[in-house]
Amino acid sequence: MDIFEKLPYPGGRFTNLEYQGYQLTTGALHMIPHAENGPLGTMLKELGTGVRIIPSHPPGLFRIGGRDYEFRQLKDLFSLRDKVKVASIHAMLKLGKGGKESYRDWVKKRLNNRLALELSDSFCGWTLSIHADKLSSREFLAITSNFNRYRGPGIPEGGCGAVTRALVKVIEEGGGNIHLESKVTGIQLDGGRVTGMDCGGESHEFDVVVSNIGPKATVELCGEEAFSPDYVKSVSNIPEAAGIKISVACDRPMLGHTGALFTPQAKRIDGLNEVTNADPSLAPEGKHLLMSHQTYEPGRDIREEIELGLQDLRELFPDFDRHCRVLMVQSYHNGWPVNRTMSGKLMGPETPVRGLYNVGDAIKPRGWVETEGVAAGVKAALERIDAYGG
Amino acid sequence: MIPVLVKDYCIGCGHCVPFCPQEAITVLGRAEIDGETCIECGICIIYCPNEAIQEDGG
Ligand SMILES: Cc1cc2nc3c(=O)[nH]c(=O)nc-3n(C[C@H](O)[C@H](O)[C@H](O)COP(=O)(O)OP(=O)(O)OC[C@H]3O[C@@H](n4cnc5c(N)ncnc54)[C@H](O)[C@@H]3O)c2cc1C
Ligand code: SF4
Ligand code: SF4
Repeated sequence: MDIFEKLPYPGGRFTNLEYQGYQLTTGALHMIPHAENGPLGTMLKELGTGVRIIPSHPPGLFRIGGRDYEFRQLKDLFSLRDKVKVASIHAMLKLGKGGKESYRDWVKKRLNNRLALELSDSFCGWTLSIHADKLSSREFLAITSNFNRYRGPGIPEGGCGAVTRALVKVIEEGGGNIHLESKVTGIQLDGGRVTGMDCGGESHEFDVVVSNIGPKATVELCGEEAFSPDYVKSVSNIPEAAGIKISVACDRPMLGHTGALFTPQAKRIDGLNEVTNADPSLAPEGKHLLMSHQTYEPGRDIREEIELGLQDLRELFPDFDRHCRVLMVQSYHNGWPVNRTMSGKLMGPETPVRGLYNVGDAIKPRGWVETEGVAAGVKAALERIDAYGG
Repeated sequence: MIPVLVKDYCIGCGHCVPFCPQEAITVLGRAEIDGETCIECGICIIYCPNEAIQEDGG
């Protein structure tokens, strides 16, 4: 097996980026959505990687009116009449199926209350980098069903880079080769079947090619003429999920726990975490790493959106300037997004070309978020590849 | 290797920042290279996932 990566390091948007002694990342917020219990945790265990995932405790708190609430306490914020509706929504989140309507409309139909809608947006924004109007209720209910079954997130010891390093070791020990600074410039086909690919001016023969650069870029590498116009159109129109992450150095814990803090009332920030409460080695001794995430709607002025995010931080933490220093503001959109395909826009690993498969964050089976979706998609692709006869 | 930022390609992901030995790059929505401190080592060119930093004339 050969892996070709155009950058000088492996791991794409899921690895550490050391900066001023802090373990920032190339993308991720250092979290594994279902800790040890989901498809990624299971895969890491089955591969014998030894990656330790520290479960987040509490999984998430919600900051409302300056106070932090656990999920089960949220119902206390509603009037007696609305409490009944909230209880019915909770029951449906466990048992319901949802449909095509957006999750926002689904909630609004059952409880037209501003806080309920803000809570939905901040949860979707933090978890998926889209707001509730962009997500089908069917997908949302599948996601919550997985959270009920496979529980909440965790932080890998050593950060997301530890996961990447462990996977690199598994690949290399299994005889695989990882070629860095090796940009793939074309995929070769013959009679509707993959035969190899081009890199660094050389052609390499392969029976099977698996691509994680997104279905659109994969089609471009093959040449559009190899596909039907409908397929080309379908991959060209896949909407991505964009976002902005702000990494902050702190001289004391600002959250003090290992879970997420959802911020439904902030102007832009959907949530934050402080991973150093789980693994202090992600910052210099005695310091903390706080990371915020906000959804970015392409087309909006990115500088203004960042400014609103920075304002949120100062409003959420009145002593921000005394204890905190912004390390880096990173924006993700336009081909290097948070998710190459918005959650709920489903696509399988197969392509119209025999021997060519897609994996990665554009190929997530229903209900699986972020790298859990990537791992679940990889598992589905492996089953197809095992069954492929050439 | 004089680095030139192709503004339309830069998305502000910040990957280039930690790799610059001169701390010549700052990012806020988009990268900016300080020509005074840049030593033209070209490292940022290979670390950008979006090919937004290119060699002069590249
Ligand atoms: C701000 C942010 C926060 C996130 N937070 C989390 C989180 O906390 N938890 C979580 O589980 N997920 C999180 N994610 C999502 C997670 O990072 C992605 O799901 C995951 O990295 C996707 O992996 P991938 O392999 O599909 O794509 P990538 O990681 O992008 O890998 C694709 C690779 O292909 C390379 N490449 C592209 N074109 C070529 C070519 N022509 N030739 C050779 N190589 C090429 C790229 O350089 C890249 O390394 C976050 C993402 C972002 C941006
Ligand atoms: S060329 Fe070298 S010194 Fe100049 S900005 Fe890029 S990495 Fe920094
Ligand atoms: S790595 Fe490239 S896209 Fe990212 S901020 Fe630097 S120049 Fe811009």
